[in-house]
Amino acid sequence: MTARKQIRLGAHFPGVNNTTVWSDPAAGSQIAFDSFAHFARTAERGFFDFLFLAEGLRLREHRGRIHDLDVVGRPDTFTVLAALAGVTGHLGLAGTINTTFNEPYELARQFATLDHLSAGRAAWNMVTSSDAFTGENFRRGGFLAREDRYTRAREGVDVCRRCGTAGPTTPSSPTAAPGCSCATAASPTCTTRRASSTCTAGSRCRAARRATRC
Amino acid sequence: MHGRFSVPRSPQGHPVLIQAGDSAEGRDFAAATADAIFTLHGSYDAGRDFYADVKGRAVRHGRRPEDLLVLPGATFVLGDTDADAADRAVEVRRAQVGPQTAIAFLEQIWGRDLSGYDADGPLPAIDPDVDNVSITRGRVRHARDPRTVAQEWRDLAAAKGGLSIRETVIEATSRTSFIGSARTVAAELDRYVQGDACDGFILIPHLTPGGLDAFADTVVPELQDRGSLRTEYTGTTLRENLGLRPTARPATDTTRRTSA
Ligand SMILES: Cc1cc2nc3c(=O)[nH]c(=O)nc-3n(C[C@H](O)[C@H](O)[C@H](O)COP(=O)(O)O)c2cc1C
Repeated sequence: MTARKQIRLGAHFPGVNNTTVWSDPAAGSQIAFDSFAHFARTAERGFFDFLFLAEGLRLREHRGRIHDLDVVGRPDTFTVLAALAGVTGHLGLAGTINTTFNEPYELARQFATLDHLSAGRAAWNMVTSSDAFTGENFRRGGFLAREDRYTRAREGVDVCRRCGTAGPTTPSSPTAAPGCSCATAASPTCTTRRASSTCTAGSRCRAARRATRC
Repeated sequence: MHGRFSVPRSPQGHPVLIQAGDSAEGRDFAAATADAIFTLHGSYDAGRDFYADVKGRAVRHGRRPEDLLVLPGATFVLGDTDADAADRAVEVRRAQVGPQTAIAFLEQIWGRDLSGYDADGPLPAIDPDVDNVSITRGRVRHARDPRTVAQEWRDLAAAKGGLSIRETVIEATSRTSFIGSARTVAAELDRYVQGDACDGFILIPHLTPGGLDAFADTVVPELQDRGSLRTEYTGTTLRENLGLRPTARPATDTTRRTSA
């Protein structure tokens, strides 16, 4: 008999979408740590695979005003997930993170760090919004043409994947890298070529046996 | 960009990758790259079509169908009985779409200031202003002609015996929801998964922070009894728990055979 297909479960934290009910007397804070911790512990008690945080990089506006009927603020995803890593032991921690307005290298570091802090429970929901309205919150603004959104997303993931998997399977101590005090022997070198602001080339990442660049 | 990566290899190598985005490019990106796809294709039949589509794309990218999990977002309302849950679901929808929210939804489609309309009255007779689509900004837009949507809403209101604005918005913006006793909801969720309409769900409760409590206490044991949900975590990483293959080391990584 073949094994029964197992149901995969994610738990979307309510509070930033338009289906959350606030008029219920049981409705609590969408930003207090207790709320996140309660929700995460419930998901883990229920053997969920992961907790899921959506993301909005700019508050919605309706007729020129903040649309406060369905949006009540957006805390930072990495910070929340890092905190939740400390109060859970098995639950995956999935964050929605935009590929357009974040830098691939920074994301690779943030996800690798979250993966360390949670002992292997990090997940990335990759979203590609590139509109100028959202971009106004970022220094480069609406820099990316809509048709290039997945080209840039691909680069971000590529950097994350190559940097992340090129290192040693066990963290090495700084002394393992003779001759270089700022990188371990196992730190990979990442090379990415870009043409202007959109990414046209893929990224390469080599594991360097010895430190060559710091 | 040229530099050294400053963090040692993490337990999973890189995070489990989920993709949300429904265009053809988005689906292909997921098929080539992601471990899971978050979708709003919620009904059983739409789910089966979507599932076949993206698993087929994954295979065309040289992957196995099981390398890409299909996870629709889903809401749920539980009750002691199915009838009790159905009553509660009506209350929840009315709380989600109050009079002001109903008018705001309508304004998004119509592209006009409709604040003078009564949410308990009929839909506006005037047509959408198609040049003013940005009345609401920052919401993920599903690009459809507002005139088509307006006509669909009018047809819906008429077909149901003359719905009010608020009732129409409630009907038209409802997504697949699993409503019933714990046993009913568990059976229905399982039917979707076993029937290849999806591999699981991203559940979206309507209350924070307690909206998952009843599900964990009542639906989860039912799913476990059916043999469809784990009774303990067996993997050490999320990737393992999801039944995904370990992350491959990149093809260019030929210089290191052993770790330092
Ligand atoms: C189910 C679903 C959930 C999404 N959640 C978010 C989110 O939380 N934050 C965000 O910025 N974009 C979100 N998006 C937007 C998409 O990731 C993507 O940026 C957008 O749909 C454009 O890509 P597309 O043209 O391939 O659809 C979501 C999309 C879908 C389908």
